Amino acid sequence: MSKTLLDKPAQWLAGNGADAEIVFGCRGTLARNLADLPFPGRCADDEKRTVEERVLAILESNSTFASGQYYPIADLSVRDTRLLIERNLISHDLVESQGARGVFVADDQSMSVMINERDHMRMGAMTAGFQVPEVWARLSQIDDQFSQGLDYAFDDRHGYLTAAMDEVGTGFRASVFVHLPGLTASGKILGLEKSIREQHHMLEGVFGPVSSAPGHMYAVSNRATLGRSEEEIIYHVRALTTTLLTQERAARDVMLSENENGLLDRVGRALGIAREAHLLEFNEALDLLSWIRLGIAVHRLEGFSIRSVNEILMASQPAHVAQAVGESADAVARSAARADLFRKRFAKEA
Amino acid sequence: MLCQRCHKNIATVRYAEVVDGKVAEQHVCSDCMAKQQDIAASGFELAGAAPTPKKQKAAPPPTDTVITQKTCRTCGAELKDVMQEGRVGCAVCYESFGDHLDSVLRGIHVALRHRGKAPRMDNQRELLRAELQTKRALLRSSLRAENYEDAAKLRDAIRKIEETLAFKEVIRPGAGQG
Repeated sequence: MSKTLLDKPAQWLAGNGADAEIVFGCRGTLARNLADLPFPGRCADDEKRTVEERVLAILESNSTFASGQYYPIADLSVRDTRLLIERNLISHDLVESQGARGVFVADDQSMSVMINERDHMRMGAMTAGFQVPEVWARLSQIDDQFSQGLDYAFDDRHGYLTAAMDEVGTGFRASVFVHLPGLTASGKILGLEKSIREQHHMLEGVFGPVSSAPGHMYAVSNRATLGRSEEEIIYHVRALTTTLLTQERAARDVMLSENENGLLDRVGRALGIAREAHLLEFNEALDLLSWIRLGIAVHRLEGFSIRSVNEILMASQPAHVAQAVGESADAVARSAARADLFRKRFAKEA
Repeated sequence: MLCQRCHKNIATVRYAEVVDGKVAEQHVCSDCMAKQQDIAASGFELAGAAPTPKKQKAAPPPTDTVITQKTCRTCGAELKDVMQEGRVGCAVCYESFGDHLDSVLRGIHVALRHRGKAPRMDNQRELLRAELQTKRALLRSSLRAENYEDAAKLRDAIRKIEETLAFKEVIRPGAGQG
């Protein structure tokens, strides 16, 4: 299965959406549970199978899910599951839990439905660019298909009931993935993280903690799911992200006006290493891609696109590299394969 | 027993705090407990993390005045595990552990009443009422943010929904169907 998945780059990597020079993409997740069975953490094996059967019955009969496939976790290799995690299609929780469980993945990888993860169902949707309402529209449409055939755990006061108390209510989490090298360089990130937390939202590092945030990649998400409708959640996530975008653009302008040579030097050195290195670890690769991405975004680097940076970022993740070089390759061989990929993609003729 | 902080409501929680190396204990109501938890939450809690057991240890759930189930009658989940992990076992847990969960939910969320989508919102009037609530909340947010362009659009939308609702009242007074 991983071969077919690897051959097709995810649609949301296109790098063509709104504000794509800063926004990598948007992701939404929606948690739902069946009313008459305990949540997966307290489900017996046969109850988990019942959940899987009921959800599969809808996946198989509804035309919304015609182009996609269901993968039971038991049928996947460790490498496949790591690959799916890196593509944001499944979670560590799904892999680590027990019993009947799996994931439906749409062919274009823009949507997945996990069965028996923390909750009976967790739907996920991704888009390129800054399109939070589109993510919700997609999730809500999928949710409508399921709700016609399934009786959800819901009460008027708490809304949709979920295993984790931080998801109850709408069960909806909206995240915007943003590239913030300007705000990181200006040392404002930790202060922003605190103020965002105080506003019922969160700012997290995508590839590590906020304090180090390799690749200067962050995710802005709503923390509160109860007490605000989906429309309000979208409004607040958008408003908060819009403010961040304005601040990031201002920080980039300052970098350009106060020390353009410094910025050009970082971008140029990153490109030089990308073209000449023979061993690249993932964190170093993330750092190079961050400066190259910034160079493209501020129009100081020509001949490359945001899309190519997005694709190489996805392809240079550990499980993706391991998939390309084979199971037996050691850490040095993987670093060499990653460097190979960079040399080819950023070659002068490109 | 009355709350030892506000002296108005019935105390439902025993709250222990270490002050200058000594344990000070108070019986407080859920409102005062929530206020205390809000203060404790800011600055320490990691964003997005499920409620931490640490926060709960300061508020041991057993009470003298309110008897709350310690085990969910449906799935058998125990209150102490739920509080420690921030996860419940089944839909009925939300009912079984009522007040205890509310104190945690209050620390994470904006309010304790669900707003938004519901599984079977086929009643037109209910749908419109829910939309009206959302639009009013958004109007308040956009005015606070001094976003007058959005506010004007929202005000128009609110007026339209109010007119539709009023029209429906006249056509079918008291009827559930829209």
